[in-house]
Amino acid sequence: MAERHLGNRLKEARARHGLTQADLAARVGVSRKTINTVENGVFVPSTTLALALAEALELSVEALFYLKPETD
Amino acid sequence: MIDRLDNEDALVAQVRKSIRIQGRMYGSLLITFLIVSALFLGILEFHLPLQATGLVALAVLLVWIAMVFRWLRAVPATGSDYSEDILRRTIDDQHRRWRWLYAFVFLNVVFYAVPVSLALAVPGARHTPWATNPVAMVFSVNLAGVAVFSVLQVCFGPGFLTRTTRRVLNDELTRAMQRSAAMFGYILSVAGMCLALGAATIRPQWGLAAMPGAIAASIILPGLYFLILQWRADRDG
Repeated sequence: MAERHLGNRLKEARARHGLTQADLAARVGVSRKTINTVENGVFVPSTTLALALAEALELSVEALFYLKPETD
Repeated sequence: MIDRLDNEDALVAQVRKSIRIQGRMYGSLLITFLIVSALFLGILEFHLPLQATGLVALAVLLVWIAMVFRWLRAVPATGSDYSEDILRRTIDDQHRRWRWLYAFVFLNVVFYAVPVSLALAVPGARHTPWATNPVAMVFSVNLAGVAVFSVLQVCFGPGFLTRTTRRVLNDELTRAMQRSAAMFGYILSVAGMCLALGAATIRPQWGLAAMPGAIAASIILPGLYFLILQWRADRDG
């Protein structure tokens, strides 16, 4: 099975709500860097954080995060 | 835009104060180490009276302990009044403030590791009892103390002694970065020990002389790696 990575639509969802990274961070209770790294795909959030992000952006976790196949 | 809560500034001020106190504790610990080392070197090299000099060294240590207790009493409330979300808002701020302490830790480790390495590299050092090799003895004891303290700082963050800072920095990303740095340090320490062992098989003295360098590398490089991870986390994709 090909290795798959976690993709996200965090940036788009955040922009739709008119939130900055710092605003979203404050809503969820994490640092701005955490939001930045999740958005850039550098950091894979825990289930708790993924749920908190989805709740803050009024989306389901599946709408916010998805699995993308490994690209060569 | 979310409004800043009124007590967020108070929290930042509290944590700033605890950082200053911890910096003071760390700085004074180094000065105490230096004074005690100088006194022991004085006993070994300049034949200062053992009992009197020992009492002075003990007095210096007791004064330092008394100062630490006094400073700890001045450490602001532990931050338990603040909810986790308020604490989290100050994480980036805390990381920025603590960064300078890493340089201090690194310089400190190098300061002790280099003389020990040089002392052990001297021909014949392997056959010299520690007691007659005062530089190596005093500095290696200090290196051991500093190394243990520094490795805790690298693994748990420079503010690990204060509960407020531990609570503030206890976020997912920081923990993940600390884990990566600790893993890197673990690999480095084993590789360093293997290298020292390899050097020792060629010439035992080289193995001994390589140990302080291996210890220093296993503290400094993971610390630098943690700082690089922080810098990367700050960059926009």
